[in-house]
Amino acid sequence: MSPDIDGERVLRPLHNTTKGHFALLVVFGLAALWLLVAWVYQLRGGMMTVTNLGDWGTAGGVPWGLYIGAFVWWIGIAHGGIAISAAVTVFKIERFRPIARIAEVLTVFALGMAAANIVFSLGRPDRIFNTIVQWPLTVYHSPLAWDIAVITLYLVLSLTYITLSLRDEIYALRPRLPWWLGPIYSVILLGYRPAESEKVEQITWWLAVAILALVPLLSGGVVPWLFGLIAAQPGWFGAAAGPSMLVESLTSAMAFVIIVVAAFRYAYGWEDMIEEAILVDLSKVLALLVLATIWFVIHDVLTGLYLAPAHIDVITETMLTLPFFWLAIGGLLVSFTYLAATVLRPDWFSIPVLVVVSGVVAISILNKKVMFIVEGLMHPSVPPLTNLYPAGEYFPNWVEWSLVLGSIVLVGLGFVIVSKIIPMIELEDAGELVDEPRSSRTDGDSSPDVAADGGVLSGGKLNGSAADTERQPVNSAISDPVDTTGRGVAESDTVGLDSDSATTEEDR
Amino acid sequence: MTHAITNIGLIVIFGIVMIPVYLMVAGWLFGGPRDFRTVGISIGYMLGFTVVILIGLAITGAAITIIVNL
Repeated sequence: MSPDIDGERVLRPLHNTTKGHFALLVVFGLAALWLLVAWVYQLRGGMMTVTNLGDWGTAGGVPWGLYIGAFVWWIGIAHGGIAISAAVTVFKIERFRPIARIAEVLTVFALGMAAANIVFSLGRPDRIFNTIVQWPLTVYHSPLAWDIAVITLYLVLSLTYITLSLRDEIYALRPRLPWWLGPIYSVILLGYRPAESEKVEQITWWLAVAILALVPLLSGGVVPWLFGLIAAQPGWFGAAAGPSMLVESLTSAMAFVIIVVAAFRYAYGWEDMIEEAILVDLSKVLALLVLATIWFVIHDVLTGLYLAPAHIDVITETMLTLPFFWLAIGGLLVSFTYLAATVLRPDWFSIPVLVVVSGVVAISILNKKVMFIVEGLMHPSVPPLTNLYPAGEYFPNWVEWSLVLGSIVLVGLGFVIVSKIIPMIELEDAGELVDEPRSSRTDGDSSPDVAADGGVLSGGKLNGSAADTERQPVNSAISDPVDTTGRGVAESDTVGLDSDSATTEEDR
Repeated sequence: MTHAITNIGLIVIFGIVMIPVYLMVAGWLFGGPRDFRTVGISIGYMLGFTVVILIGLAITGAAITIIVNL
């Protein structure tokens, strides 16, 4: 095992649940309930009735607003997580390995929230499965159909990547994992054989390559093509939409990764395992991405003002009069100033400030993406859209804010739940953790980093100690003798496709 | 005015976007170590997740229908 990763402390959240964890669960749960209430209200009242969104041929406004802006935002955020993990795999950037798992999980949740925001934005979400039924017919000409295909592909690849990368770990740790989650672990271990490890490593390497290649094809390709291919909206049309959106997406993604990593690091007292140097590196990358985002804004503004076609000129001038535009630019500039300053003066670096700055960056990008969506719809320049979208105003109402903010809360809730199911830091030599006598496995008092009061000396708020909770029973279904190699069982063993227990091929 | 180029969906999806997936599967099949069983499990996971996502969409649509008509 990596010398700086303490497996016992990584595993502790799976067994020990503190009051802080329950409090987070309750808070996020109540917020998620509010999201559900708001959504049911929208479903029963009708999209146009309860939101400020209009529709074709209505008296103004825009059919796409905060929901679609948030969809694009979440898609972008999804790239940060899995891309970091894939980079660790493909380019062997080992120093980022401690945050790879957290980043992977973020990707899956972010993709889920992207899909959720699409559903929020549908006037008839009960017909959502029609998008699948009709897909063979619509894929020929509809960028929306392309979008469905690529997001599904990205989600499937991400889930497969996470599942395969967990198999060795879950198998080795099975006796240490909560017995009542057995069915989940059984799915992860379908057909598992210890001998597969080398091939799985090769398979995940290729998966990582494919995922990295899909980043520019999704956030820099299919998603911008939803907008950039439509000449009827001057704010959308253009070949630079792809690169611009990709950079914005990676910026918000990096900001989110920093926030989530810092949150885990603080909550579980993992400061020694997720070193400050990792966050310093991420902040430098974020600084470059923020600068690139500002650079694209300059492109937009200059080409939109200097002898631009009339309709583009109008849209750019309008954008420059909006306080929201300057709020986004101000947020990016202030953030970049701090991030650049910490490069020049490392002693100014502070993780709490970095988290705040990352939050400002993420919100600024969301703001900018929503403006991008709305401005194109506000200024149609080519018939028949000029008749379909008469001039109007748009500002999100409480239902829209509730659903979009609720989607952020759902990600938090997802992390709170998943941190009780799988180790959130990769344990490369997980087998070492089952070598010791089982009597000490769940005995937090035996762990040198646990303080007398049961708290973690390193400052963790959610780690607690075994004293806080009941001793976890070892999964009685696992009865394999544990060998001293740390591998767990003999090479010939296979995890059954229909059983929680490990059985030998001879038994089959 | 119609544009023939607007019907390029199959090229975009299966001719451009899926190239990394083709390469990935080729790498799985022809790269060492040869282990078609594990490759089969990996493809099985991908198909399984795809089916779960599609079934999830169908259930979501049905659930919304019930909520709206309550």
